[in-house]
Amino acid sequence: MIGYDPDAIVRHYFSDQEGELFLVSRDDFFVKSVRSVFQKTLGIKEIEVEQHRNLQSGLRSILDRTRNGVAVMVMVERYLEKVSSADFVRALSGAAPSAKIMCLTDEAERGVSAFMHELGAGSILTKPASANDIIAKTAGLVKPLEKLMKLLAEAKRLLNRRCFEEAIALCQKVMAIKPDSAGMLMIKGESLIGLGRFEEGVACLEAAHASAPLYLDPLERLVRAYVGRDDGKRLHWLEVLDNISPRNLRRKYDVGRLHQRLGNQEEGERRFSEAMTLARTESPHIFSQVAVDIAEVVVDQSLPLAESFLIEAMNSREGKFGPDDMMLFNRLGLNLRRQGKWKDAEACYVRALTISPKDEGLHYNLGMVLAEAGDLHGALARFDKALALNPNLGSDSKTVSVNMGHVYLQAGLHERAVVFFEQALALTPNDNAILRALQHARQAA
Amino acid sequence: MRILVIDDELTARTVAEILLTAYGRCDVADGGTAGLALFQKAHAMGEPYELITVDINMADMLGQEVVKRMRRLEEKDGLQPAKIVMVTGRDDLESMSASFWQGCQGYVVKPLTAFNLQEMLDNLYIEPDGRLE
Repeated sequence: MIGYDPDAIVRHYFSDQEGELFLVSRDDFFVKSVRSVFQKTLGIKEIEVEQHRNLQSGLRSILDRTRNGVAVMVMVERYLEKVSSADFVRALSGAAPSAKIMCLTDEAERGVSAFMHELGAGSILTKPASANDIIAKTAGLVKPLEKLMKLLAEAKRLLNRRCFEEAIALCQKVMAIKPDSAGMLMIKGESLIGLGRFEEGVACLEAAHASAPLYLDPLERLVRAYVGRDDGKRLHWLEVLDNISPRNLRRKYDVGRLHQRLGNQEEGERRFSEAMTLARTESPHIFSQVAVDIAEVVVDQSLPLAESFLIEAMNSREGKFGPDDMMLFNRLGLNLRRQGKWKDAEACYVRALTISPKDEGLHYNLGMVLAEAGDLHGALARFDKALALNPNLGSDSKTVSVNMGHVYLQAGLHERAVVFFEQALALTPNDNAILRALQHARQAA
Repeated sequence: MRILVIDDELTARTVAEILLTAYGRCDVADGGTAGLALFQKAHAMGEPYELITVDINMADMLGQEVVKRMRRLEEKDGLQPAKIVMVTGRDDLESMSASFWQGCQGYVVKPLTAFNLQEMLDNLYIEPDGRLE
């Protein structure tokens, strides 16, 4: 490109724009090399370079700077102490969109470039890197937007404002000069869909994909276009995306879910298994969440299969549970209850109560397990504890009220049963089953 | 544009409402349950929210659970997804990753200011609708 001067671009960013450089890396030799390139080779004496040796401290520090309006460039290792930086990159690009992120890798991994770009990294640098490599990649990352990119951003804003006709007009203008612009074809396609011209819109999105097969945006928009319209086609485009960028955990999970929904249970399970492997390597911070969500999808297919995912979620916490984990205990307990594994369910709730002893929902659930296992005395004691913690327990849940009513009825506490059936009836006044249970309890009382 | 602010803390809710009024018509909810009810009502009326901000630490429901339920409803009914931004005091990697996993597109660590809000909304191609101009 005529007039393209990487050295000048980098100097402008760090000197005139007062950009700061963060290195999230334990590779001290590389950090030293980068400092040397910027300070000695390029002569940017005033550059602020901050090194962080772990992801969390780096993230906090960077967010603190971007919150104050500082222009920030971040170089982060692909793996830090064997932990993937994928979650870091996603979090940083989502919380500080202006941050320029460069991912540092030691070796080529299949699909890693597309994956890191998807997460928000603007550039990938393979180490060892020469001074020229570092300068060229940095310049590519921080250079001002070219005219076409500015027009594309403007077209996206028009699309977002639902100014479909204007967005199409802008796309046509650009495409008169650059007819195969994938970005413009994509915006035109979405605008046509917005105008209700679905088939034409999809054709444009497909043309955008054909024009730039590795550009993920048009594919994502094709997936979105078929939501609620055609799960088969949605799955097709998800699979195309998955093939280009196979390390995207969320997509792997979505592919599994769609296979499951379309009745391809074996394929669904295979994708979920891949998702769990990916979660373990790329997103250890949310491994248990991923396992819980998969369990939720497969629970209607197989309770033991769902249980196995929940157990994996539980084990991944390595005993470090907090209040946010109570939902995990409740789900596993409920799963075990539905399978009739009373002792396991009881153990699950008892363990949860050691972490959160004032959770009335846990006491209630443990009470239900004990009741179903035939220990009415134990169940009533748990209900008493739950009600002591929350006297309005069940007032917003028909299921809880009905369940407690039946346990009280079974235990011969008819007046208490009446109270809970009345509570349930207040929530669903025309429920015949509750009406019958209430009549029965009243007669017995 | 219709906007929904979900936060169980009055001051945070008020700040968000004031700042977001420049971008559209703003409703507020004081918790996850109330927020989900407004979300469903808006869809039922055919006037869905285009932008939703959600706190994480709420007494009745975690923000990520709110997002998860919204995404599930959108998918079930074939609706175009709203833009969801978490606005929270939590700045740990686990909370942030869990939020993006459930489908938020942006994340603002409190305090919410005109600056960090604008940066976030610029990134989502959302502009002020001119009502304060």
